Amino acid sequence: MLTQKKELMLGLGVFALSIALLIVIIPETVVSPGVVANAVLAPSFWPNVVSGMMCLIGGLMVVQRMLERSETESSTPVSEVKGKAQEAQSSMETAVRMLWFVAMLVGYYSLIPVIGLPASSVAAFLFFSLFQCRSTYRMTVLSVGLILPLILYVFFFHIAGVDIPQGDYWRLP
Amino acid sequence: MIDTLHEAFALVTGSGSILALAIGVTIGVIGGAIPGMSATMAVALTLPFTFSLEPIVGILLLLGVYKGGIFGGSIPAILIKTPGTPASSATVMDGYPLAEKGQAGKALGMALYASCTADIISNLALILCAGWLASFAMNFGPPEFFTLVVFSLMIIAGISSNQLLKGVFAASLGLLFATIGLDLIYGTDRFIMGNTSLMGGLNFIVVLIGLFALPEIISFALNPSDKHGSVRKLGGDHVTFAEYKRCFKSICRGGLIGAVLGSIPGIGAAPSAFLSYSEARRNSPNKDNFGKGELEGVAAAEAGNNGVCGSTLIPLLALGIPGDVVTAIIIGAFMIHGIQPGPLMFENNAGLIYALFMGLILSSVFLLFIGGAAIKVFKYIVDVPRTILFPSVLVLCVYGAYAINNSLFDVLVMFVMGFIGYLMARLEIPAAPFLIAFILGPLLEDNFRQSMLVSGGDFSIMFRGPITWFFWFLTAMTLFFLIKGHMNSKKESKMALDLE
Repeated sequence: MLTQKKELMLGLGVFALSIALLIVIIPETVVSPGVVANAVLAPSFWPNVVSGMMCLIGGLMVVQRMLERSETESSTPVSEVKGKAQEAQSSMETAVRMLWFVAMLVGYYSLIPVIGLPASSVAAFLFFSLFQCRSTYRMTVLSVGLILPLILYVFFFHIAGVDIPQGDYWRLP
Repeated sequence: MIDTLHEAFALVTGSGSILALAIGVTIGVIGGAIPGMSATMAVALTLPFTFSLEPIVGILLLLGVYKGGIFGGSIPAILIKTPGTPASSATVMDGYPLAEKGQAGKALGMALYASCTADIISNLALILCAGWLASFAMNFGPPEFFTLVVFSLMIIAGISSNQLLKGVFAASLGLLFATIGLDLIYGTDRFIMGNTSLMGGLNFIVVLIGLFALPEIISFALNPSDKHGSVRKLGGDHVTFAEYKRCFKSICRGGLIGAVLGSIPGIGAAPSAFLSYSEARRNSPNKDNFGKGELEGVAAAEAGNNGVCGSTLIPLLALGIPGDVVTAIIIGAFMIHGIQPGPLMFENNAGLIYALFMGLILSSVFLLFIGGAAIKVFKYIVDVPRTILFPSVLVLCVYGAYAINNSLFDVLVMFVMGFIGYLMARLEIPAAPFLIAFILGPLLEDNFRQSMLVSGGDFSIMFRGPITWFFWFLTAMTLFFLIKGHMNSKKESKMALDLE
């Protein structure tokens, strides 16, 4: 269960997102032809309707949380303080792990055109399993990490006929 | 008639048809169970292998893959909270909590029995009520479809438990993401920002993988631990007859919902599963337990999605209109063999039609045995160390996302969707309404715009007949009951707080 403050922030976020969509994003990124026979057929009509709906939902979320906040204000601060203390302890560790994970995904994606999908999958698998998750099943990780991408390569390339990228340095049969 | 049945029997029992059906169900179960493979992809990959086969053999092979795939999707949905197909999204809600309680075997068993029972109901609907259901669905024009999708989305918002506003927000976000790409009427850009890879819009399988698989991987990456074996230690692996009997009403209801919705082109298995789940929850004495690991929830969801399998062939066989993506692939198999599905097929190829009916009934039996065997094999996925399982799932996801369009951009979209899904999970925004709205979005918008084109912008077309009024009434009733239920739960929680 989210705290009242976070719920309120979420409502405000939804409201702000919808306003940004209506005022900036849709006018800038949805191209409408010069002459539209009927306004309801315009390319921007449907995104505007959905954004308007989101605006209403955001507003309702804020109102709902404001009402609930005034009712339960006395019971929330203790748990919020405890939650904040726990969050502060683990937030640094979580942020570092998240950074490593994002770096791995960026590396995985960037390596595919260079060394191919099977090789980059082997690298990503081993990095994720051994380095980030610190798996104790090292031999199994090595075996699965090498075999799984190759099996998938054989299946997709040879059976499904998918043109799996193989990179610039070597080509699998 | 007797001659036709004799011919049909000969077709089913000869030329390796039974073997093809068994192989098809096996491929489907495996394909559906692998995250990122989906029943659609499995059918599409099997299609080229049917070119050299006899028509009945090839078509039964594909139908086997389809049926097996829909059930197979429930295996990862229950075991690793990753629906193998969009249709299994509803199964996650109670299947995974059951697996967490150590009752994965029981959940999978119930999923199998519910699937087979609903499959038989759907096949019977196909055989007995094909003409009536198809003619009813054929009365639908764009306004009727629009109101039907609005009603479906309202139901989907309702399944997001007590968080109605968050459910509606998730659905709105899904509708917004569905508008990305070229506008179908004017051909202009929408949210593309110069990126040509976005012109065709976001692929729903890529979005599905990103939204349902990656957040789990991210969560694991932030808290890695090698918990394994615990799921199978607690509870029995088998569903008792008493449990099956308790869920039988929901299974039959789900089968019927699937049979009706499946006969309407474009609706598909996912809304059927959610509607079946929602109805089971509404009518169950254990409604509070839904979403926390209720066996009846698994039964209803699986009955709903498998109930579609037979009836989705009604518009295909009787009218030549594919009901969903899979039947669109299957219609290709018919055409490869020079057969044009439609009313004339019942006159010119009656033997083939009856052979397909027999094969479909047989496929339910195969599903029972092959699905049962697959459960025994696949449930050991839970025993795999998570430090091996999750990196494997990541690699599977990347291969799966890439293989759909041979596009690296899809891999990037999957990663982005994964982080959006993770953020949604952290903020307790349900992902299922997002995904279903994303899938139904184009159908909703296209039918709205077609209605407006027909009426010249007159909104009264949305109330043009009894069918539209019927769906508006259902939508209003659903909204009313959702708000009422939401307010009641708030009152109850406030009273509980006051008592404390």
